[in-house]
Amino acid sequence: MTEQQIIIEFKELESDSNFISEKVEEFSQRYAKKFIAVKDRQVVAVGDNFEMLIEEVKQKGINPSQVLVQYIPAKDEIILY
Amino acid sequence: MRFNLEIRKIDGSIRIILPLFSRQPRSFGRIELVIDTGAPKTILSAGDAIRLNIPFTNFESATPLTGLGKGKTPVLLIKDFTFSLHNSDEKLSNLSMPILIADVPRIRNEGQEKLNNATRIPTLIGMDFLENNNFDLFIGLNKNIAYLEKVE
Repeated sequence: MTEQQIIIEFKELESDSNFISEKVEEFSQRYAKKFIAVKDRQVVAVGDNFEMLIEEVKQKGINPSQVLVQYIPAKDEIILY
Repeated sequence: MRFNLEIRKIDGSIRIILPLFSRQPRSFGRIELVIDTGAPKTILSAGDAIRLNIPFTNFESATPLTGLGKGKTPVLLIKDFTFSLHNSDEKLSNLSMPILIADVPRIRNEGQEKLNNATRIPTLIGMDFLENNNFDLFIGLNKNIAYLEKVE
């Protein structure tokens, strides 16, 4: 992969990352306690657990390494690391 | 040299996020890392390890991690994880450093619930990331800006 291709990957990654941040309140309403996969500023898959989500991503012909995955916590759920 | 960070608020919890591109052989891909100044070590999450198809058998076990909750989390050590960052001048910085990764096969052996819980935890940037790469971290929540600055 060339430097130019990686810069393009970064632009897509940053765009999808911004998309999640912009839409996170909406996602909290629609997808609480679910995993979502985002690519090209679209939610391309939703799953009750991570592995189901990745299976759905693969079934759609998308390489899992090219999606961003976000777990959407429930309203009363705070995740500490 | 400056690397912009994303400030994301999910249900009242603020996360500071760094976009990164993994250049590990056969494990190229996009990752979002959450800055965790309470973590001494950088840890590639179970979810990102699965998504990037990390070859778990290629790496040695490291001391399991103790955190919140019951038990310990088994981890592996990647001695020189290679990755790129995208700076605010639209250029790439290629870096490498040792990181821990969640040992997904061993976590899976401990049961599906343990794996489900592990995959809710994102990849975390620990203090070693800042120290090893000479980064200063700036967060201005009131101005809605956050970035890493590399000290040359």
